Amino acid sequence: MSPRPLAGSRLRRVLALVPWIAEHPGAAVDEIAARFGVSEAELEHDLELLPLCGLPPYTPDRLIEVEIVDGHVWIRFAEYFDRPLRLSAEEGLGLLTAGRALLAVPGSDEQGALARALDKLASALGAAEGLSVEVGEPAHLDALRRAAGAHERVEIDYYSFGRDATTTRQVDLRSVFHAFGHWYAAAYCHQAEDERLFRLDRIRAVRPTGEHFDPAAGEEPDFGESVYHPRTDDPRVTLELDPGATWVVESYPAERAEERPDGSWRVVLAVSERAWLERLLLDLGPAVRVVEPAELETVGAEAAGRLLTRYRD
Amino acid sequence: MTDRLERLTNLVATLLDTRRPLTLEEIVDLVPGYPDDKLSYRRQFERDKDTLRGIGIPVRLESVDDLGPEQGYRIPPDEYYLPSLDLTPEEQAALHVAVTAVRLEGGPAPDEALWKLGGREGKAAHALAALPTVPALPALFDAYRTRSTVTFSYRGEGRHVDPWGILFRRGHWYVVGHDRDRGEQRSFRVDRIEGDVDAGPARAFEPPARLEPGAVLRDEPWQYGEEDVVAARVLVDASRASAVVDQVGESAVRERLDDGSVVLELPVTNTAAFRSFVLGLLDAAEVVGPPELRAEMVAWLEGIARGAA
Repeated sequence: MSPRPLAGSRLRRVLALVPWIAEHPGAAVDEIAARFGVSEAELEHDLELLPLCGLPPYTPDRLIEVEIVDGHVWIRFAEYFDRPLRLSAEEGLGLLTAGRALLAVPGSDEQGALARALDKLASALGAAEGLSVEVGEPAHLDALRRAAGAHERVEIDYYSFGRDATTTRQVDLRSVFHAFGHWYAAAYCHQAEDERLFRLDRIRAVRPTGEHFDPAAGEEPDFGESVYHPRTDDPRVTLELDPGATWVVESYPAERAEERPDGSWRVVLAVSERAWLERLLLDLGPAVRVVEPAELETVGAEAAGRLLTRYRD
Repeated sequence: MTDRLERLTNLVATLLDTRRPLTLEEIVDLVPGYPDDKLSYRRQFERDKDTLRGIGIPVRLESVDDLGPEQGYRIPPDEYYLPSLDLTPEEQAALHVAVTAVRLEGGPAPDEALWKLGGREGKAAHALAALPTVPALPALFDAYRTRSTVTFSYRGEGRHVDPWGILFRRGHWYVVGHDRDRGEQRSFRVDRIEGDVDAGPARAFEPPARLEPGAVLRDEPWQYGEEDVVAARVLVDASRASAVVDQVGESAVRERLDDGSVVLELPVTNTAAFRSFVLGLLDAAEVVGPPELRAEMVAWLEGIARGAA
């Protein structure tokens, strides 16, 4: 039988709480609860348990002493819990990764408190140099973050990968964020008259307009948006994929995906732009066939023919 | 009936405090809350032990004394306690900002990682970045810390690697190290490691001094292959030239033409990945050399063009 995760999670919290309270005698219950992200009721529940714990033979002098007076807590006789449990590989990795990622964002203070905290953490973990996190420095990151912060409307030249074309548009930047290796700007686009997500490495120029916009209150980036979401009116294409090309099924949100007895797949994908489908078909070559609609059956062959003219001059 | 959390807390305290390993019988005798029946307490203790190990508590099984075969459990204090980090409140607040600004998808809850460092200090930050995590990553990180050689399967082959460092770049995690079978420095994409990572004994190697994983990594997809290196030349039109040069780096530029286009030279060991890269540029790029590579591209495109006929 597998261990119940709940007991593990509560035990982790208790083993971290006790050393902290012991080190901060008389700390306020509400402060402790906020610090450890639990409700006061949960905290009190944890604290009620402790006076029952200690060492054999569990005589009063061997039990942990918890005193709560006017919302303040003291813990005594828990010397064996006077330091927290060491960090697991996962926790250490998580803290270092988050810290190094934030330090890698252009404009961070490389000698500041975060850098000092990470140095201490890394040396305690024995991982001084071997973990690096790169988040990239797209050319217009600073300008865009500044414009988003100051609510300044900007004009951008944007290369649309899907359409293989560059356009100029005015945008109101809601947020600028990094997700899974790329920087994005979430913005209201005045040309599209809708919210749009722009990849910073495809923004070729940024120009101020001198105008300001009203920020929508308290918007947080929605990282889920950074992957492609089909719109309901995008045309659909049905593809037949050889077994070697099934990565397509995992890489794109397929509307329907069905494996056939011979290991090949039949998938239905939304196609917002023809250039996107061209790339996919050119890349997969003989491993893919367009099943329907009929008007898209020749997209790959036509694109290949067009590209071949470059090679025949 | 004793609360399970109470029993677990007492178990940790007892195993931490004991100077010699305690046998199973001693443990169930000392710690309240175990059933009387041997089969039941054995099963109960196994579950408790798994819970403790599951949250990272080093429960060790050791010989009770040098003479007998009897084995017992203890938690070595030097393996249990977090060394003091002496973080100032300002540094704790900076870590709080970091774990709230940078989200690790599928990683531990940011709050719980902070618990051991004194919880949340100061204010949380707005989300700024999200990074993926990969199942094999903690094991690789641990092996790097302890200098253990790791064994894993990659591209269908078993590999033995001394992990020198771990790097996140362009959306992917890589492990950089010494491939013992090939006797060379290699890098591996962590999400392409197949199955589990097994670590050998600690202190098996020493990574090169002042190693920067980022400087070691071969970082383009067309460099992830075992083929002989081909110096591929690509002409990229003005419309995409600056974006592509941003991606591959200025050092790849062989020629800049008057119309704004550029000729790049790329070291290719994976021609399929190289072909994807060039085709991704659609009408804006052309393989110009060497002739065999150009002919391969023409043959590929002709195959697709014929498909419709």
